[in-house]
Amino acid sequence: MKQLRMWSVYLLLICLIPVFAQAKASQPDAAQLFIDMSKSFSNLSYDGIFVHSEENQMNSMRVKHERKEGKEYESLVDLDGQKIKVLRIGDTVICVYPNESYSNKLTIGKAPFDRFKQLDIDRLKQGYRLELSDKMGRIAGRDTRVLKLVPKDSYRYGHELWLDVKNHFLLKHDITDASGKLLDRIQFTAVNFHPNLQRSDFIPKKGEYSEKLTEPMYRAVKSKWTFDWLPPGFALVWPNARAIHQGSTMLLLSDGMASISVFVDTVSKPKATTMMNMGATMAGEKTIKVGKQLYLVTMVGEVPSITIEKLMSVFRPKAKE
Amino acid sequence: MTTSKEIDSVMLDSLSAMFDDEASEQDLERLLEVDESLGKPMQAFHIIQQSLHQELAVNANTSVNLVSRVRAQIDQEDQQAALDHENQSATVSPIGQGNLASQQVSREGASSDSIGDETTSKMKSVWSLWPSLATAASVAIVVVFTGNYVMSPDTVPAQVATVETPQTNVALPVTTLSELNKQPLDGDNQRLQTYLRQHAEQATISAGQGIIPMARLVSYPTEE
Repeated sequence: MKQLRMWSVYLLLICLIPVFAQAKASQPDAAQLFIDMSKSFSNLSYDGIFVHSEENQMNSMRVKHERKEGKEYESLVDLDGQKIKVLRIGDTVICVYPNESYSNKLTIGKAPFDRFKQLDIDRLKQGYRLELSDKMGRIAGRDTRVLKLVPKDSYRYGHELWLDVKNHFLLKHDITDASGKLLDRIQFTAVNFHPNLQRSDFIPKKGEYSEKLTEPMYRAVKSKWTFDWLPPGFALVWPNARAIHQGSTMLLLSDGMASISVFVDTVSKPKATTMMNMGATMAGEKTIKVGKQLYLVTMVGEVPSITIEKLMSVFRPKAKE
Repeated sequence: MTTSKEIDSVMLDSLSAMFDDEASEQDLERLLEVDESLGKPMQAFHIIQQSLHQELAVNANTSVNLVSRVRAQIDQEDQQAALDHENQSATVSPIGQGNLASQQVSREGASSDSIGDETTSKMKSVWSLWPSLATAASVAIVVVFTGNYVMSPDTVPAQVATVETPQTNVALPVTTLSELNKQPLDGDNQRLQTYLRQHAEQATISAGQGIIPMARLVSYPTEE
């Protein structure tokens, strides 16, 4: 009798093994989930409304996305004011700001929105620990799971990503500082993944622009500047600098999640070193002198002030080759 | 509307001539015509450049087109030359050889001795607007021409050893960017606003969240 009972327990355990195995298999890999999230932005069709909040500001926006005949169409409209409207058709981004003088059109050389097919997850892991939380949630009426990007050092913020369980679309994104304080939040309140959008939804209406759009093509130039140090995982996005106007250049750093733009201008008078922020966005300015020439270095990024300060202190001209 | 392709070849020659101090009237006219099509973003960059070099008091509403300024200057010169020709009393200012752009031009009068002098007078006036025109022209290059060009050596640092970067171990106080909207609009303010926008646009491309990070643009100071 005792032997029979033992056999029953063994049998039960054998029967449960596939159940445990399936449960383990259904738990997705955190890194793969991050890649899926990035791809979902370009692969899915959606029409949704989300709220963006930082500090004491809150703003609602509507985003539409459709992929037709291999080309992506996307629009972002400010619902609470007339401040901005952004349209993207393929690799062309049209930004319309409240002052029409800032309407501009960016044409990006390489297909940038497809870049996450080659996302360097190893680089991301240098700066963050990717954790899949047990916490499940419900955002915009859809079931979500939470992916955390926990910073490994003090040079970047933490990120919590609420992803749709079914299609891994990002429904909520929190950026927090080292103390856990919320700095920036984007959260969908409604989203439709079968929106039946038409091409006309993404084409500027007649008379929408009173000014002719210009097409500023950024000029790639050999960078004359370098960093003595970079936070782990951060690297230049472009191999070269970009000339943005006379004598001024721009560099872009990224760790796969956060970005830092670096602008260098020649100036005639020094400017006091300053740090400014807005939610998660930090901006720093510093004048440096090379020989007799003064340069104003401006850095902007979604990183802590310590990162901007340290980068400004190690930013130097390259040695003569 | 002049397209970038249409103006590529002619602009290149004219701009090259301008930078070599060999621009003819036709070159200048061509640049001025093209400048009309560059639009207001160029004006924004121009204001930034003015601010950086503290050339002029910056007024964001000063949308007086650079072209208009140059044209007005040329027209003024035409009138002045005609007047001087009538009076036959102009004092000839010696013009040295070399780089016109670097000369301090005497505006006492223009020579009526030759046709060339009248043209030179116009050129001098235009060159007196050199900083602005050069700025516009360089922006035009950025706007118009594509491809990988090597940066002009005006920003080439001489030697690393001469770099002066004051170090500080004290964390800098951080002020809120929203204060920008409360401050009087100056060139620094506008430059920073432009850079915030450029950051948002470019960061969007590398953020992997589609166009959504552009939502941050709304929160940036935008008052003009």
